[in-house]
Amino acid sequence: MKIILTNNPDVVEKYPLISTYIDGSVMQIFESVRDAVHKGAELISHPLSGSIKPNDTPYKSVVISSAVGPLDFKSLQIIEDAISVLRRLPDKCRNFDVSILADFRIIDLDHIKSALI
Amino acid sequence: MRLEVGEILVKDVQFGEATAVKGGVLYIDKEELAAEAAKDDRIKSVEVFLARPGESVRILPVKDVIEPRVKVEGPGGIFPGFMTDVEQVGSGRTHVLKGAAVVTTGKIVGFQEGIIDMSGPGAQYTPFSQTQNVVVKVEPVDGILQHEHELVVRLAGFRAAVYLGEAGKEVTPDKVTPYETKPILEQAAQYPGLPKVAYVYMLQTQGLLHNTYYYGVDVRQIVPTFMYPTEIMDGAIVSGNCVSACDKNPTYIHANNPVIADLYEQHGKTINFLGCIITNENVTLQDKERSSNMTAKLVGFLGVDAVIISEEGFGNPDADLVMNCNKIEKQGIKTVLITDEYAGQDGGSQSLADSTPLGNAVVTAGNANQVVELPPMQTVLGYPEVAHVIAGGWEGSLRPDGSIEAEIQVIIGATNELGYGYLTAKTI
Repeated sequence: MKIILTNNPDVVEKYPLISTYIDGSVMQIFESVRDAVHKGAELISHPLSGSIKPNDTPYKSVVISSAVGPLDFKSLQIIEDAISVLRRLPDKCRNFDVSILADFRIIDLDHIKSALI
Repeated sequence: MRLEVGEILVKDVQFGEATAVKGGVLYIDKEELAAEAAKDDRIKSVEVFLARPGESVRILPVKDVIEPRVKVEGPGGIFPGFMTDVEQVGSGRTHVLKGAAVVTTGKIVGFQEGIIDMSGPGAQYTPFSQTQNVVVKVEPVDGILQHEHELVVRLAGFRAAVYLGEAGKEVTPDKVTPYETKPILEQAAQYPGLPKVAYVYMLQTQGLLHNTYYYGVDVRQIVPTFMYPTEIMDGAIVSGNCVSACDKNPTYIHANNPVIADLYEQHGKTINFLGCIITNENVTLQDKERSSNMTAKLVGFLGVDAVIISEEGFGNPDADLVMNCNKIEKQGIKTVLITDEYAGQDGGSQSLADSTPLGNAVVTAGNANQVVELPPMQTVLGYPEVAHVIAGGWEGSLRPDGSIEAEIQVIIGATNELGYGYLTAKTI
């Protein structure tokens, strides 16, 4: 079973049964993923998917397993590294208009599709 | 497989009555080129502009850069799978309008990037400030969605490049260079005393606006495969990668891959260059494991002593780079990695999102977070109104006078991970 942790409403609309919506920032998504990994989930998609930097896009979706079990150190390292990357990128505080936000959402949605086949 | 590449040097580009190359000048029938590029019901209009080195011109947002080429002898045509059938390319003879480039611009998504400045400090960061650029601005019909819009712009660029390339078909090249890679056992036997080297060519394949194609196939869907290096010189690999301007590989750079050029340069002198393995950079960890396993298997199967591995992009692909490095090194095969860095604006942070102690020979193409100030230009080609939503910029990046302060990640080719750029390190 796969779970999507996301702040992208388009992902929730497309995959309502497996999406967990988090009303928060990309960092909050990453931290939620980290917490789930500590409880035994494994990463299925890479948290730094896409070349749009995590401080440029306001949307992020990460696919993880629903497994609860021993800690997967590889998943933990990847999500910790992603958090580290995001921390060192400057906060841009940009106000994008509605159409641009829609573009960010559609790219995020497209990139996790391959993790849900 | 043997390919002769004939370079027809283009020192200037001008609009003229007929499209032709004469005396080092590429003359272009503007209407005919626009009509050729616009041969798609999904296109509302195509406009063509020229941008030459040294001019006060900014091109924005650039989607792809494509070099005009034409097949003169041998099977297939340029851009197989898109502009021609899927016959194997990379043999015979190909002519290149060296010095000319088609630059496509389109407003596919709202946030933008991809700057080419033809003069000023920005010109020092992009190799395409030194090409005679034919800018093709593509306006699609209303209501087109992002996936199709990207395809429409991409194909329009290929049609324009193929149209211009035809002008070189009957022209005697200024320079002809032969490239040859023999079937693997023959190639291995040709220089028995030299170390055998292969090239692992990682391609961006994460999805919408992050795709690369090999003979028309989305590389996300392949398992790693072997490729004769000359295939790229006929456009076997093309870019559908519109994001991360600094370290994406435009179609032009694929065709002119400097890693392959340098490996051929040393072929028979210091190394025996056996060929390329192309692999992908997918989003799932399972895909990464599978592709890096297959890549390492192919490298081992070839029996090489060393490989060069080039990455495309940052973040997610860093994981693929590290997996490829680890799995190849653990077979006792040396690796040299080529990447770029996101080390913060001061350059002081960790450069990559992943790392390995086995990655002990790494070439960097520069720090994409380096901040640059781009002064205003007299002319902005493309969509000047999008400059205020440049990805890689920040609130206030675009100033009222038209100047831009941003990281060099917004400039096409600034930290290109094949090394097709100007950034370098010098001991002083």
